[in-house]
Amino acid sequence: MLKQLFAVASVMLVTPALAEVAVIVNPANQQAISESDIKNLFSGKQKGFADGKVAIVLSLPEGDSLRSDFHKNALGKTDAQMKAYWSKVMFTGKGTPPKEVTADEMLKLVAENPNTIGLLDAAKVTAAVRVVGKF
Amino acid sequence: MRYWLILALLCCCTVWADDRFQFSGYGSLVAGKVVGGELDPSGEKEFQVDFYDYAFYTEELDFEQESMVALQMRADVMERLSATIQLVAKGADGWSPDIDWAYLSYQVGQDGNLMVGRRMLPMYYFSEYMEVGYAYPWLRPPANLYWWEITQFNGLTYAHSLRAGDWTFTPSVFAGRETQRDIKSHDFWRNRGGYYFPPEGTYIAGTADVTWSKILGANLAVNNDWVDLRASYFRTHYNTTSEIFFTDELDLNNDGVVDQRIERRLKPDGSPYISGDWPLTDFDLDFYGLGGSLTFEHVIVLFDYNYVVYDDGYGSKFPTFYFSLVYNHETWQPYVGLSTAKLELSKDWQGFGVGDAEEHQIMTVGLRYNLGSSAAIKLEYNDFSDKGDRLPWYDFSYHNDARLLSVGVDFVF
Repeated sequence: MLKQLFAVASVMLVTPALAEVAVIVNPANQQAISESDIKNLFSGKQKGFADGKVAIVLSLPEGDSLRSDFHKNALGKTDAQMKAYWSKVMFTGKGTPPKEVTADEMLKLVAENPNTIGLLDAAKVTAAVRVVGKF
Repeated sequence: MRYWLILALLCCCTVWADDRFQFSGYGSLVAGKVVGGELDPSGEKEFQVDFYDYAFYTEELDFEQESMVALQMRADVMERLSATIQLVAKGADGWSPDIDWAYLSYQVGQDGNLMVGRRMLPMYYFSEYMEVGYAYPWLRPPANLYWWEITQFNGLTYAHSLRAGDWTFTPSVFAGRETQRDIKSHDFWRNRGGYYFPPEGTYIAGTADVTWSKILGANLAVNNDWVDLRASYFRTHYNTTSEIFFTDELDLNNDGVVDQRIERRLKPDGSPYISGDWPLTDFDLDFYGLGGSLTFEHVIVLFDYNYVVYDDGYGSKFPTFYFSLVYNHETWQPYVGLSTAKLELSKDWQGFGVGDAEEHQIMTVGLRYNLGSSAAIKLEYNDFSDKGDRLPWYDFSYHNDARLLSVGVDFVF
């Protein structure tokens, strides 16, 4: 019994780390997107893709663990630090944070719109989108 | 009444929650109390925290001096063009809403941004968002640096970003002007004697106004994942004026004793006498600054060095700096800080003398606790020490030693 409990506890501890975040774009967007581009797009320092098109950056709702993992692994910041960063940027007219959409909307929006870039659980990626980075 | 206006605007947020409009905001609830220090000339122990809105604490617990709320509305007018307005209501200002920001922003290509309208003046590293408490670790930026009566301007700003790998370089240029009327802190100083040093027989009667005209400056911001640096320069023409009056002393029977005093406040045409156009109140100002933050695994280092030069009668120079260390923890962020400000007089104005006229320092210890990702509680202790010689300079009240304890909640929505 104790062993089982321990096993359950270990799974609970390990599971969140297994979820990998995929950064996705529309398959029509075949441009090279580097890790720096991803960091810059998701922190508002870069507004568009290499071809000059303005990017529509999509993120997951606040509190979503995938979003927190992305902040930590890709941008090196905690959720609170990102919120502080965006409050500085948006209240000084230097940009607006990514639009928040649910995981279901994400797949649909990116599959439909060639100007989007978003985040998705790597396990949920389909052929309708192209993965440009994993964190 | 003003609370209702803010509430009405907040309600609009939900009604107009359309894709073209974005509503957001921030605020702070702060309470503070002076816990030690020296009496100033008014007989109180005071700690000044905001020169612009003339906010200060005494030994009485006070909730209004720094509490404030701001609401930002942004509308996408058309592709690449947006309009933003920020309404700010502060306790120190009787909760009367002010328009701190109101500008049109046009995206030029992918990396350029032209902003036209009213914005915060990019002086110190934290100037542009000094009121957004949630965005920085401390309860407030060091009060002895962020003390200007002008913090916004009306004009143009153009910024252009260049990227190389993880590095982003953003040069920007700005130009404009600003006038602030009825400045409370000037009234305050005037009432304690000084600052305008009007000619004999002349006294200040009305409120003081300050104008910064021909503001022209440039910034360079450089950043990557862990480095964020900003160099800034601007020049402006500073002018402060006030209504004044003369007292005519009449010796009617020539016995050497004044028999009658007559105040003259208005010129024969009925307009007030205005003071101001002399080398102490009308001069060029140059501002130089270099500040930034360095984020290491466990520690964030924040610093700002600034040098302000007045081409005034005294040849005033203000070297100021701060340095702060913040423990970089997700939830608890203890911090320490040190800021110093000096005034040096380099020209002898009418025998007033040259040399150091003021020097003061604030030591800060505090703790920020993040409550989820939209609010933070802060507890801060500040020790202000007056290190300057009192002579030849006047003893302005905010230069007394004072120790302040404050607690606050900063939030964004």
